[in-house]
Amino acid sequence: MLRTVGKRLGVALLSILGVAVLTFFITQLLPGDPARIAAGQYATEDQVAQIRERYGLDDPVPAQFAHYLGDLAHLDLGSSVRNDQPVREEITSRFSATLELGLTALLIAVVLGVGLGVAAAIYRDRLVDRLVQVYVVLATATAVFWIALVAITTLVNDLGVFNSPTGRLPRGYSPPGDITGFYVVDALLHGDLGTAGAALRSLLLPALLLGGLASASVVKIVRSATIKALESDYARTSRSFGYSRTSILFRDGLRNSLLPVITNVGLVAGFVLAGGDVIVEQLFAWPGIGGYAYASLANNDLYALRGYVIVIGVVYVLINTALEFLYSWADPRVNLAEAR
Amino acid sequence: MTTPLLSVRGLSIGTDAGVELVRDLDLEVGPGEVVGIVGESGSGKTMTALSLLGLLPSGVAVTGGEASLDGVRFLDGPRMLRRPNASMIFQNPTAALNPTARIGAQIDRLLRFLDRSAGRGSDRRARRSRAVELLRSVGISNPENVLGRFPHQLSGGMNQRVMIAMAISLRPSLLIADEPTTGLDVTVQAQILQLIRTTVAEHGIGVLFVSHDMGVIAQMCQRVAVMLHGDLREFAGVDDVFHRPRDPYTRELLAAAGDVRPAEGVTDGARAR
Repeated sequence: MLRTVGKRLGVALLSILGVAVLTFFITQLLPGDPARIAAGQYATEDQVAQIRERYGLDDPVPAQFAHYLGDLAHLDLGSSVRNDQPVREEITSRFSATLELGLTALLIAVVLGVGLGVAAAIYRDRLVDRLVQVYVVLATATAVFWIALVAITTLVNDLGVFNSPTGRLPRGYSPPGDITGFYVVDALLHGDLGTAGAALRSLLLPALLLGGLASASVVKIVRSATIKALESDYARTSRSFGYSRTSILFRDGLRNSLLPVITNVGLVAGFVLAGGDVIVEQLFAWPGIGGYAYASLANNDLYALRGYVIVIGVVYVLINTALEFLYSWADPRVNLAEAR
Repeated sequence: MTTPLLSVRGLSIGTDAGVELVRDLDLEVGPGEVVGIVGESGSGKTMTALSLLGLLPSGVAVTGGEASLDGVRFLDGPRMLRRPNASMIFQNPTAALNPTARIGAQIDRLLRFLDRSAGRGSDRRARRSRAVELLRSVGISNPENVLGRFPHQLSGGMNQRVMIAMAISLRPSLLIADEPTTGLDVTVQAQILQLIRTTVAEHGIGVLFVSHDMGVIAQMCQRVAVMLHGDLREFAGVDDVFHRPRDPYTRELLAAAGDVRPAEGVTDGARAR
């Protein structure tokens, strides 16, 4: 078992190295000159050349690459050309915000997805199923930014259910002491119910939007997997013994339909962390790394952008490695030791 | 003739789209008797077997007829009046067991269900030793080991033994066997057939044995129903069917199967042992 774990972690490490290499070359191809942006609109050619030299931007590509890998080995992501701040610190300080939003959204996506998917499977081809199908189509076809704006106008401005989109806490609250980095959890740990409630009302709307949209793919997979499991030979065996519908649903249906869900969660995590998150953070002034990435891209901030891509890549690899272990636990037929 | 164990009258099965799969079928199984249903794919033999336990796939339903077991009617047209005291073993035993549960957990689930249905207390350790006993009774020599395995780690023959053990633990008066040895090695097939024969003889269980294999039918059954395209073509003792087939389709089946006839005049009792 220990050998298997070591092997998988080795593979994960290789994947991360792959991410690092790819990131370097893709960001090399980006148009625009980071040095010119950094120097500002009125800089002279000399000043731009100076900056270029300071950041090593006019070194030959192999030299830049070696330099980049060396820094990376020391977990040094370089400095932002925008404000000269170390990229690692900027990302670290924003990371917990992204993680709080992303994990909450992921949780919502899975709970909503499994619940609706199973309901649709049980009431297959009946009203409940039809309604769920409509939900899936809408969630798949809706653009994040549009539904977010609609939600902000109605739920925030008109009805006041959620806080204004002003980041993790509304005006007048200060962040709770840092324990986990998740405001809601930290406030609860400090016994500060007022702040916890306020943080929750700020968190919930963006998380619901992200999670709701991401749940569509989970619903589809759970529905078809549950239907397949309930029509399987082993579910038929259970019916031949006279087991109750509930017993068959949970022990034959749901238990076996969770396998493809685990695979899918990796994809959903990718969407939540790297796709939808960037847009939602913009709209809700959420101080996470998505907003940082957006600003970096808009400003040709080479090092900041690289840092962001690498961090997301590493998180993605880690999530998928964890899912692989979860999968081999959930499905005894999958043997990680044999998998290559 | 004594009252039959299973009596099926005018059974018809059709799809929601109106396609008839089985038409007006009459069938009976005597107490302790093994009755075969033979026919090619699509003849309706498996649907007939499934319908008796209410296991028809979605989109297929009983459209008419009735069935009774031990003189008690349990199927009246599309309505299942009660659960008949019957259990079933299937083709492809590995798929018939839950892929994500150990054999021990699956047997335990069944034993606990049976205890609860009977309204008696249930103790995990007692169930465990019953499970071991059950597996021993179907010729599994290392039951503890098998209990800890998943279905995919066992052979098809071993899984079918497990299925037979579970089916028997319901103490049924009728066992429905749907192609129980199709897809197994020939030697394993012979062992499983032998196991079914001895087990049902020991408990006095009647068997409805579905197969496309005339040779297997000849070995196992006392009476045979020949089906084609949802119709019953012939229902008679094996000797008659194999040596004096009345229906032209039966003759075709026999010709296609080669010489699988049981020696004429061998008594049913001798074959059933």
